[in-house]
Amino acid sequence: MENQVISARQFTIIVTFYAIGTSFLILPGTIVGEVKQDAWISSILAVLISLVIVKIFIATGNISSNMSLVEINRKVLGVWIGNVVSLTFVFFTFMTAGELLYFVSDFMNTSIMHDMSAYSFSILFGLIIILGCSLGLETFSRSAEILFPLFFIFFILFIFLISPQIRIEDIQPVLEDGPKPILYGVLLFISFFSLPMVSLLMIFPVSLRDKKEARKGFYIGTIVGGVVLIIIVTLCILVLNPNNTAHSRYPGYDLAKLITIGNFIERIEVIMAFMWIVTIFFKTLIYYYASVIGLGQILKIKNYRVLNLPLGFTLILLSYFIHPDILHSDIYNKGPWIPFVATYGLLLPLLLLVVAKIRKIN
Amino acid sequence: MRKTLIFLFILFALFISGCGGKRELNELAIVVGMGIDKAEDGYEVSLQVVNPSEVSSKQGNSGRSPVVTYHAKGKSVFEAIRQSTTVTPRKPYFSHIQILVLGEELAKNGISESLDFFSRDHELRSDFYVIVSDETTAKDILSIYTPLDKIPASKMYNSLEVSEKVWAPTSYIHIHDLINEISKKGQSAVLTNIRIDGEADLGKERINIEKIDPPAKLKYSGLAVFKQDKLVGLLTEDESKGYNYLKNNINNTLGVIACPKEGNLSIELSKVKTKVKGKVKNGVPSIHVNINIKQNVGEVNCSIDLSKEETNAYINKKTEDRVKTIVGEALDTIQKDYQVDVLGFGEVIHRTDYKEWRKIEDKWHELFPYLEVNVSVEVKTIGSGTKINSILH
Repeated sequence: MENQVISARQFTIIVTFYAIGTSFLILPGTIVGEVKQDAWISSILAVLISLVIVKIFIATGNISSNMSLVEINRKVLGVWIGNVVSLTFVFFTFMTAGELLYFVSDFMNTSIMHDMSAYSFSILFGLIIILGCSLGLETFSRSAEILFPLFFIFFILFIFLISPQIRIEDIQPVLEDGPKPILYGVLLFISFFSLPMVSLLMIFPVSLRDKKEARKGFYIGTIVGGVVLIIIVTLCILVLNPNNTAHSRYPGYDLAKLITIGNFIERIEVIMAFMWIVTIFFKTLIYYYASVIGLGQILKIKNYRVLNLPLGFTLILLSYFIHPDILHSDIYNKGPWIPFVATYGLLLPLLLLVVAKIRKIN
Repeated sequence: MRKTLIFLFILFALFISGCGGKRELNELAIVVGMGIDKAEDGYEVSLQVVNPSEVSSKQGNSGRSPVVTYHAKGKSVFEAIRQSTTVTPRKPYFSHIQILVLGEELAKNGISESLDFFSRDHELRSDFYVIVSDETTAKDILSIYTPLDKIPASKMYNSLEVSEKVWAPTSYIHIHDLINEISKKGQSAVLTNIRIDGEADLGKERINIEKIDPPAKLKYSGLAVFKQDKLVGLLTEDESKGYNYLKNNINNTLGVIACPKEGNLSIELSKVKTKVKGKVKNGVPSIHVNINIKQNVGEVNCSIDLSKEETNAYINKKTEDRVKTIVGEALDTIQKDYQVDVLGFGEVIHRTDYKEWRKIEDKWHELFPYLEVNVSVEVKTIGSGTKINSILH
């Protein structure tokens, strides 16, 4: 298999986009629905806890710094058990990639172009994902580097434009329902934010030029992405107020709809949609890329691109079947998703670390 | 192989994007104003649709009306809208709605069932204003010709914004805020009233835009008070102003005060800032309102020496008294007559002391009429226009 390498800076940007990904438009509604006006506390706590989770990921990657997660599985857990675990892991990343594709098509369908079938968005977006994967890690990392400044210019602009509508009193009263819902909010936040980062272990640290810098980049990316999400959640509370945020499917988009400055800067919510599409593109791509090279490594296929097209078209179909309706998706994301992602995002790395310690693999 | 693949990709893209879901301007009926009335079994929806060629300044002289208002009935708002396609030539397009008029009858029977559509549909944005018709139906309001602004909906939109800015007894509210307010327990909302001033029948004729003094005008006449989602009564102009003082909604307004001897002074209140604080002591809630006013002298109709400090103090005191009276009257009507918490005082107490609020939450509607509200007003005069003393006196 050819070895593609990216720089630490590119990795940092990918981590940032990956962290923002799905959460950017969807998370505020989910989390504010549970925690109401205290969601910002949950968010800050969750980002802090996420740094610990990232530490676990880095430690897992360090078991063998020139191996991907699938190869580490094989090395630490043995060929048979390792491969079975890897297969389920690939199943997880592949399913989630299909789910993200579903999110994109549902969002485009319900919020922007109602008359078009959601399927057409899946196909279009899926084709770009397949193209990105076939061009490889180096190419899409560079495109992330190009889109990053654009994303942040729009994001900062967005904060400035919406800030006149902030009503600070919407954040009160603080801690009304006690700490319990806040903890659930933290769990929800982490399940969207840091636990999925486990699929980054397919490229970290094996595909990185400077592994030491990349470790720092992992933390920085997580913090930057976390701050972006904290800001979005807080803005939703302060501008839309908790009640409207909780009942909105895409609160971030609703937020952008409210921007109006002097009757001429208005109706710019599609910029918000663009920002989200950019971030979720890289998140879906990483999930998909992880599945493709993961499967390639399990089957010991030299050129992973052989798998790209068959898996890619399956992915597009999967996005059609994964959720029969939006209600299914809501229930799935608040319930089964959390243990599902925690199995790979928390249990698997910990298991690997413990077994590696016992078997003295270093 | 690779080239063929890329070629195929591009070919696919051609087929699945492009004109899918397109909506061209000549296929849209752009709705600018919408009205909902209560019908016998459900709702009657009125859609004010722009006639683009009449509105454009170059060719708008063919004698056709610049807007057309269509009506349709249905069991729900959405059904009525879909029903309306049997009379509209094109499919209504809702992204440019500027005003939503709720009929008086509907308002008395509760508005919440009719509002969900407006926050759910993807085509609607939340930047239009909601008003309620007074002594007439929403259908009639949307059938009046307006001079100057060819589109009546944008006339209503603009004059609501302007009058809130410089006159004060109106209050604009966006749909998402309205829904938020009426959905909260114990809180209620107010909407601005609109009525037809003059002869309504002539207003529907072309003659209304041909005369210099139009026989019928659309006029904002104060605020309507809602108990949860039902209209219970109106506030007079002064009471509406008092309400806006309490809600920190005043940007700029005018007050006329008496001079020491005879005649009067008009004062422009240019900066008004209201702070509302709540507290609960021994289970008894109370509210403290602090109104901070900066004012300018705008018109002098008496002999008064504005160059003296004492005069300043006199004017300040007069304004203070006047604002206190207005606010007091508004409070009196809202607390004693309507007994609904449109001022959001419950929410203020909830914010400051949620533990105490839990105890009184359920009996809030009983406590509210007897709630102690302390109002303090601070006034500062900062200018007197381009003159010092009046030359005429």
